[in-house]
Amino acid sequence: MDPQPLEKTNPSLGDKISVSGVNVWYAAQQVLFDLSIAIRPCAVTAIIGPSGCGKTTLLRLMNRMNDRVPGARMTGLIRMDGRDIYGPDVQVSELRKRVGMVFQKPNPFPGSIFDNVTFGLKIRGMVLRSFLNDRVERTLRQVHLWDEVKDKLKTSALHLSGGQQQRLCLARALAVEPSVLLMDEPASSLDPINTARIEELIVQLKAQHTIVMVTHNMQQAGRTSDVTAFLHKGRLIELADTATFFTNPKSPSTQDYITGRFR
Amino acid sequence: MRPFSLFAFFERMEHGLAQLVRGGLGLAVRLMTMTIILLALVWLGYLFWIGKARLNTEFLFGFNSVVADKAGVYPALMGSLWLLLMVFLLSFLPGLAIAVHLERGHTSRRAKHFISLNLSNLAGVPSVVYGLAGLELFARQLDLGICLLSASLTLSLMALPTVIITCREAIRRVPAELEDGAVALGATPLQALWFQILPAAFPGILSGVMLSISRIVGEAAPLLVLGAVAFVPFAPSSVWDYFTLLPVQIFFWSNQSQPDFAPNAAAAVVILLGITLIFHLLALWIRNRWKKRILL
Repeated sequence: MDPQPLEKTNPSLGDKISVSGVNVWYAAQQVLFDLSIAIRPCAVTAIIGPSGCGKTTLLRLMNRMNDRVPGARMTGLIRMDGRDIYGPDVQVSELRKRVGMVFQKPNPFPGSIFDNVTFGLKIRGMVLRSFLNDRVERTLRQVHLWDEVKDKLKTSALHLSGGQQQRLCLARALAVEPSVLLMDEPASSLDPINTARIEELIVQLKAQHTIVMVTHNMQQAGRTSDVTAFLHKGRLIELADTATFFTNPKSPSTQDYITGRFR
Repeated sequence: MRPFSLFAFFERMEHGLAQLVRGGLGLAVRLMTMTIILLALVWLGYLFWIGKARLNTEFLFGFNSVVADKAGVYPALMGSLWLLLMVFLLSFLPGLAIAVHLERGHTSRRAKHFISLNLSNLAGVPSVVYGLAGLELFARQLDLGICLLSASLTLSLMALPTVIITCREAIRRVPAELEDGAVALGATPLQALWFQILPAAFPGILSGVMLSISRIVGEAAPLLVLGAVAFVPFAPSSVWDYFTLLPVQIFFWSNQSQPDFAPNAAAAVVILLGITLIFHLLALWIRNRWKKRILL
């Protein structure tokens, strides 16, 4: 049985990813309750909410990273381009190739900058040197890191600064050309200048990528996203266009949250 | 009177300790350390001095003899080198595989706990017991006889618990973020293991394995039980050959009633220590090269 390519089925559906009726438990504790959310293609969706509200869990459902958490259990349906990503014919590694992820803490591989960017390509058997060189240059330019590192591609990625490392991790994810990018508080460990750079990048990247970003920084959500979702205690409280969300929130608890009345 | 407080007690104690250190305790500790190192060096120098007459190529490449001056260490040296290689081959890969399985495989927590407990117990079993087990299992039941292979298997069995424990530690020290990063790029668990986790854990794995194996190869007791004797007139040329080893040779020479054999024993000790030293330096070199390759 050959797994169908994920992007082929049902292109008529408007949403890139649709999460419907999802419940998640860690052992006996339920963390997401009957949650449904649609992710618009080629746009930035920000997920905000207080700590422990389940926003990271929701994000990690979309590339099935939660499969790796012992004791995690899930019910409900998540479709990408109309296809159930938890279906029996889906190869998880194929899915993750289509859905890249950038983590909260920069986690470059110990090894050269070049090896970091090409890892995702090499594990798929793309080893042609000229191709790799081109791809490394292209993705590093895309994240505005090329000028800083072009003379030291063979040196360790661990010698880069935190901001550079995070941009490298973004480049590493972009190198395999994912259609969706998941970002888990990508700027939380960075200083204001590097944060601004990452935010700028996010806005640029949405031309080709669907971006879902978890953040606890409401200004960041306001600056970068097109759609904002507010999660509280494992439930989706509000989902709206970012402009409407921050100026005219419907739910009183959203209002309380964005005005800082509770954390 | 103030009530007793552990906080205040610790503070006073630390204060007092700091004063003691300033008042000469630090110096005393340093002196003691230096004395121990010096004693070890003196002992090594003494061995050198005793054995210096025998530390030549004739001794190194000669065969054993009942005449002390004519006796050489070649069969024992080759036996030890063979054994070193065999134990490395037989315990490294299985040990690593078991460690990976325990750390990354789908083993229930209960089974893991049970296995860990048994591994630490096995690591503490006296070597003589391993010798007896090897004699019965390999030499007799599997009918391999008393040969290099059964000796290697016995010592590998003895090295295995320590190898597994050190490999597990090394793998566990690799941060989980590394695997997350690899898997999030679409690497399968095996790819993440092979291309990211094992290379990052390799320096730790190597030093752990080298340490336990070079320790094992210095053992005489299990092999004496297994039936190794000192007087073997040839160097082993296959794993089925009869063998002798440096520790066994040292044991027999130092047990001889004639004092003429003392220099032989001393010289053999120096050679054994030399092998261990070379082995460790080699491990250090590989380790540093690897770190440079990975981290640059």
